[in-house]
Amino acid sequence: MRVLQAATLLLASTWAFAGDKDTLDDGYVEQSSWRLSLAVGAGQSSSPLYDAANMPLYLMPDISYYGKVAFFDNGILGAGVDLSPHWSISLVSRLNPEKGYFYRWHVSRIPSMEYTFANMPTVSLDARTAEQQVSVNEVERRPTAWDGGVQLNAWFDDWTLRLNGWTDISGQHHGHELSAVAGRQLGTAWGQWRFSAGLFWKSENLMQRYYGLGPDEATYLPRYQAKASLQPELGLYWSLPLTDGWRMMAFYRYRWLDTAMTRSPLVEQSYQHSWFLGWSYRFF
Amino acid sequence: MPLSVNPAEQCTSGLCWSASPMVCIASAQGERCEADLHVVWSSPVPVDLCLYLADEALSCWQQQHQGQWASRLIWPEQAILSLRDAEQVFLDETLKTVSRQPKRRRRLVAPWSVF
Repeated sequence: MRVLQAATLLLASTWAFAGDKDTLDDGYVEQSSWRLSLAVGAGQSSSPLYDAANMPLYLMPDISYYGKVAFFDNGILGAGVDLSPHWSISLVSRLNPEKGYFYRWHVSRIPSMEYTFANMPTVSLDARTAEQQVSVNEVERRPTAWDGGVQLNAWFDDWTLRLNGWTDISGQHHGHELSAVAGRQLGTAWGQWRFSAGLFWKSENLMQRYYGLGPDEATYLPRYQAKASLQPELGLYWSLPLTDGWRMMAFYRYRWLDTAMTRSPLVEQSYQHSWFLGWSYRFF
Repeated sequence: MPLSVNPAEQCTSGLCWSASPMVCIASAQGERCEADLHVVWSSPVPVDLCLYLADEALSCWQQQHQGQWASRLIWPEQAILSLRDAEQVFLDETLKTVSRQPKRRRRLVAPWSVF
């Protein structure tokens, strides 16, 4: 109870001293200047794979630079122009995020143990009674792929729409990804809210390279042939301006994984989600 | 002939002029900026001169010791204001529009969305 009272008092005092800087995130950034925020708090981004660690989110950067045409925004490098006041088109590139699910910050990855367990398949029927499973620790590392693509952005009042078409330009899997994400921004007395709903389609080649099994992997399992996957996603983001540059923030994002993905012997969960609660500070 | 950009009132030798203001301050980047431009010049000897903004002649004088010109202008983003005759440029200065706010553009990726 005391903790709650202290938190309320802190929130009230910081709210009272809220300054003008960064109190409103209107979706615009200053041209030709870097923007850096850091968020500290608690959260995680889950991995749906067997034995893959959930990625802890304690400290997150938000870094971007927008020039007149070119931009860099949290790992996405692009160049875009406005087609009209409501639409813009960009050429974009990024590291394919699929490898992130194969995050292995796990005790079994300590080198001395890796030798011991690396080639020992563990088949457990606990979670998948009728199917077999394989740990990410028992398959080869998935490739780091570089995507190139096109992005369309649209803005209509408080609504935003982002359409992406990606293709593997690094020759790692020759796969593609299409996505559409609609968002709605709301400003309230209790901070800014952003709701988003998205749909992601990943091609068969992409799915096979990451969630299929190679010829030397888990040879005791029947070969799994991946199919193209359709993954809906919902997200909610909240931020409350505090004192100059500081915000409280939270987000939750949930993605449904269809059977094209969950039938893979690597996949344990039929969802992937991320959450975070903490504070962010904008340096510039 | 020595040239000076001192205010014309203080001119003691050569061709002098003053032009003000040189900068128009817009409230936001890309907004139209209007201001009254006032140009005064003087010369100890009579001269033929024209006042140009970029390549557009605003006014000309023949065999005059001094002249002045004033008008309200839609300010250019950046352009050369010059006093010249058919052969040479005697004086030039740059007129600029600046804004109180830096230019902004829409962000194309939602913050924190990569996590």
